[in-house]
Amino acid sequence: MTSFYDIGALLEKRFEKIGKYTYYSIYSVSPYKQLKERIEYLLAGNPAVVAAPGVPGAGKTTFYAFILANYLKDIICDEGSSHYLYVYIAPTNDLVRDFMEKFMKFLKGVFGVDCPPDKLSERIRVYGSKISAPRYTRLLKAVDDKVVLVASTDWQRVSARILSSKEQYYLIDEASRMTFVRLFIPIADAIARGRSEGEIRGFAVIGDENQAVGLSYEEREQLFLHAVRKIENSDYVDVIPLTISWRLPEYTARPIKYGFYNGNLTGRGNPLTIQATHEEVKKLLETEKRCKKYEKYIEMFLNVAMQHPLVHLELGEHFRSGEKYDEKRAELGWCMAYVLSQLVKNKRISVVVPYTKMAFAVRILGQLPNVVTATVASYLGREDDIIISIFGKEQASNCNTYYMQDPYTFNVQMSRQRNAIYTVGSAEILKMSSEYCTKLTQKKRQDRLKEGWDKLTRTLDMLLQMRSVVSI
Amino acid sequence: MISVKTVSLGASFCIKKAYLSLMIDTAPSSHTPYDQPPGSQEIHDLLAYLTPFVTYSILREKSLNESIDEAWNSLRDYVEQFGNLTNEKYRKHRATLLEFLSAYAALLKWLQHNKGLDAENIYIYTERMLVNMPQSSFLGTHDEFLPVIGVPDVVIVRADGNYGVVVDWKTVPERGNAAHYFQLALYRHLLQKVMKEVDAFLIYVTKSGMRKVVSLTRPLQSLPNAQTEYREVNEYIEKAKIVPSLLYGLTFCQSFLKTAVNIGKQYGIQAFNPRKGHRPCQYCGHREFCQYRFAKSTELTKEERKLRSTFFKLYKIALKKKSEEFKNLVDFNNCVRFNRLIFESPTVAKLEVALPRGEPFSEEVMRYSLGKTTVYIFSLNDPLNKNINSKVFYSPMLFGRYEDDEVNLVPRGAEQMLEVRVRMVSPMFAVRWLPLYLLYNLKPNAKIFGNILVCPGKVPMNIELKAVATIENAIVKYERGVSREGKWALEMIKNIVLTVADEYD
Repeated sequence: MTSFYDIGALLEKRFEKIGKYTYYSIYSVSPYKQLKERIEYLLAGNPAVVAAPGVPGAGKTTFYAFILANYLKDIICDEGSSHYLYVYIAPTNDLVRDFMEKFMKFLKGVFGVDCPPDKLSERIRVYGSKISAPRYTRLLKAVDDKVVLVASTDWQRVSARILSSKEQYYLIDEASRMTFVRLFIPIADAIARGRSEGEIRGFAVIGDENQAVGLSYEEREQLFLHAVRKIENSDYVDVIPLTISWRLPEYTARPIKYGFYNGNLTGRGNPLTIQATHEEVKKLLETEKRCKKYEKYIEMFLNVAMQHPLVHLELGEHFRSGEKYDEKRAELGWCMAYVLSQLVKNKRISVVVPYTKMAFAVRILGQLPNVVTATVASYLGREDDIIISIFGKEQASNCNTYYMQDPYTFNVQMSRQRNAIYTVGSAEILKMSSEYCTKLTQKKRQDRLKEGWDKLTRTLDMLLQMRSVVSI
Repeated sequence: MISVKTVSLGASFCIKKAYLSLMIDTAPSSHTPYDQPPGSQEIHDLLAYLTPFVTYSILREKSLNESIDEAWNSLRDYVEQFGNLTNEKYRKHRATLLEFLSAYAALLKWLQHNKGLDAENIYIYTERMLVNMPQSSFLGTHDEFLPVIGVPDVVIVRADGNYGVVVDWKTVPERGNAAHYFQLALYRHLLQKVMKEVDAFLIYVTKSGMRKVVSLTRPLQSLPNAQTEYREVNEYIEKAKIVPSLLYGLTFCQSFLKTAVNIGKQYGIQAFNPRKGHRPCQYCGHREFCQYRFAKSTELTKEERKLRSTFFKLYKIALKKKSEEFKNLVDFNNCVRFNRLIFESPTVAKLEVALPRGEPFSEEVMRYSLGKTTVYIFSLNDPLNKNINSKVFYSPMLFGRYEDDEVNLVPRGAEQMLEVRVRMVSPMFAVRWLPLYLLYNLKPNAKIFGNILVCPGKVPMNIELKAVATIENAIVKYERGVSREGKWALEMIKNIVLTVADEYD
């Protein structure tokens, strides 16, 4: 039951052969071409800082995995020691696991590297609180002479375990709050001035300030990506924006496209519409007594979901006051997940909610096949085929609610879907709260927050204008 | 909260040095001072991993030489995966470990013979955290003001809860080791809050070849593999109990030194003065800082006076926050109960509780939603937590991250079974998790893995305080010409502090 990731299994896994030219062609057009060239230049031992602000689903993990697999394919099975260490860092265990799977897929399936798992475990290390490798425990041990690649959830885990002197190159996925990178800012600054000394020789960071959540105003200023922008005039620094989302279907991306990205986002994901008959749905609801009372809502929702990959259920009421869970929303969300899991059996579904208590309330209603429930914070960098996104407190409450304190969480909550997203809550009330807080606050130091509220207002405005809103 | 080692330093040596250590020396997340001999931390960690296994082996009449390797082999893979030690380190220190464990084995045999300890009737804990909060009296005053955290190297508890043994490993030469006696006397004092009888022993193994067991509670007969010595420490505790009050006074009252010296004198607590050329000050790393911190205003330059008074304000802010954090180290108001703890792996503990069948959103169920948070795990069957309800003395079995994202509420007959998991999150904590995991493997049905209390809490860290103290120390050394390192940075920080002082004025 424990969701530990067995990284060792990935070393043994057989990956289907895939033509490398597909990826070469994707990464041979702008802006990936420039980004690839700059990162390869860095990996070749040249001090540099490369930053790529990327929209949700820009393919950060895939890109890093491709670059590293391509770069290491000829040396990863070699004998002997390595003076170079390439380190991939991401904020969550899921991302590290995802990176490793993609890296192995490229290494074996695309580049045809075929050395035994034992050999790979000599050259690779993977660190994270949910990472395991029962058959190849060496993967979790300290970095010795032979290691060339480390994937980790944080830099501290790596730095404490490097036993031999190596030149280090970091590929950072800054998807969220990663305060450790503050330590890198002065090093990046030195590189930008052409003074790269010490073992850390360069960085590439792909991230999105619009998805950096859980940060105070001051912490936001400390984002590595933000810091790199300040030194982008240096010859050693490149900033290359990524605006194509390979994950999000265009229709589902529309609210955040105009809300958070000023229109600079193109969705290339595959949209999904649901196919179901009235009888099918009725039968399903009869077997789950808890869902019977939501039959009308679910039918209205499915009618629209048959035509659009984004459906918003506009509730005429705000989140339960004084609590971090709302029974009605928990049950409705669970019932939607239940029906969808039965109707679309080949798709995975995630119910994404704002509070841990709300996630708990949904989970205890019962496990469903192909369904997970997670908080927005724990869902950073993750994605799923279908997302059921339940809003948290929409009411303004002194502008200190979840969304008002950190409007960027809404962007994360609205951008996880590969095929379809269904939102539940009151966009009307949330929009009013956001507008109210913008007007109320005059303090200069909250400019950044006001900017976030403006983005949130625009997103909600767009959501409410869409054809696929169902008022219930 | 003050570490037991800091209190011991104040009681045995110099209250001023204890104050400065409290502010500067201690590593942020451990209770181990930086100034240990090289390799000492690794030896301590290795002993923590090995001791539970070795203890049971010795009590079952196995040879030590085999047991130590068997113990290491049973854990090596886990330690290398989840901790920060390697097989090379074990090989490097093996001879020293064997020295320590030979003396320990001899002591164990003595305890087996004289105190009836055997493999079936003991719990063995290594690196176990002991927490003692100030004990309030009926009138709201403090019956005993002893806010300390201690982490003894080994605690052996007889399962009946009436007898315990505390052992500490010492790698430093037997010089100025009154601090060690105070340290053990304090551990013993804390453990006596839950056990009638507690014996305390120090085991010294030094590079000069000394191998010695010092008993602090009863005369020992000669042991086969070590010298023995008896030190009477019964009176030490009264002296040690004064130290926290003096340290609090020095920390929160700017002109408390004279009072501290006078009170200290009555109990034989010393305060050396580098200005008077006291001999111990010649070897003290805090000499410059001590002169500045405890100087009369007239003995400082105008700038130093300003710096000192501003830093004092900064300390007060940092300490206030710290005190709040420690006061709420364990949030006993939001604890949840579980029937049982099951180790799923060395770093994951599954917790199970049977609840009556009912509505899913009942208060009884929803209270288990703690989210992803740091928690302390106690066993109410553990003799060390016999008096946990008083919230004065307690000893968590583990701490880790509670993750209710894998919660499972499964109907089982008339009940429903709720499961959650707690994980070890940092390799730094492996030294606490792995020995317990080993104990679990040796005795999965031991009572201490039942009747579990899980409480949200804080990880004790002193980062802000240490940062302020380190900066002040560096500026003072720089100003006095002791060190010119980081000239530019220190000049800048000094200017910032003095600007803050102007703002305050």
